[in-house]
Amino acid sequence: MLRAAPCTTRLAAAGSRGSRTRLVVRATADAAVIESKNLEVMRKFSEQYAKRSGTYFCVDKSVTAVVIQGLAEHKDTLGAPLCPCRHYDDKEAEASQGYWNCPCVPMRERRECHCMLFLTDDNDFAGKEQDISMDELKAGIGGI
Amino acid sequence: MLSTRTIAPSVPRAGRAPFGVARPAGPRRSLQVTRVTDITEAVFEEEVLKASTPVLVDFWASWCGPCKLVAPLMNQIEKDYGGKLKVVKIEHDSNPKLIAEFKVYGLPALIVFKDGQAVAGSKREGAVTRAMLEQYLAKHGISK
Repeated sequence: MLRAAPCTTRLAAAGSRGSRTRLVVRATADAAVIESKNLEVMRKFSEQYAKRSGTYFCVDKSVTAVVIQGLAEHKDTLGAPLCPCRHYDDKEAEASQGYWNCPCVPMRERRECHCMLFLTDDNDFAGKEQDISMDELKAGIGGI
Repeated sequence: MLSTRTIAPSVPRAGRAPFGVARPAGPRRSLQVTRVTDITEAVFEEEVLKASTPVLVDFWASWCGPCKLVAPLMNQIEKDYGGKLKVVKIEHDSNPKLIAEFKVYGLPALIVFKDGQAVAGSKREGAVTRAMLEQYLAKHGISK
């Protein structure tokens, strides 16, 4: 079990140098949180897309954080930010097909995001913010 | 602090810390689940189909933000309905047969089971507020 003392270990994807699946393992008091290289990429994307689409993050930003982490993990493993709030019979096929790659077609066409990442201002769960810092992101993920 | 109950907990993948897994008692974090019954396909018949009370099944995924949002509500609802309702959670990736049988794709997904079968029309996808959940349960014949 990883201890509470700060510790960072870089792990490259097995057998692949400079792979898109490069990960950083950060020790926490309770469990290791696998920090994706794409976490910052998806954080920035989420901020930009919220502003562009006129939508807002959830009033509980840990929801936002969890979804961004899920998108980043899928981008790491599949090469595309497949929606983390769905079940897929074949994730690779879905990522290639693109319908559920964020921003998904329902979001692009109707501003419907069932992940609650991008919320219209009339949504019961919508907050007033379109920004989420990396500290907020990590706090939201680490709170799980 | 409520005790945790886990029946054959389903941990989706190595290296992750999914929020639905039961944790020992300790400092409570925001949205941390402290009373949850995670079940698997292996015990589904026993725990759901042969249950003596109606069962609310909550299908979830590790990095699904809305799933995390409703998790404490599921715990609270079971407590508030005082034995008239049992709530169980099923992680989607590690229980593909159930996913296929009940055609669960959007997450979180709720289904009510009574007398050994899913209540027709009870499948509901997406996050819910407390009021929405009580309304949904009442619609399917479950009240406090």
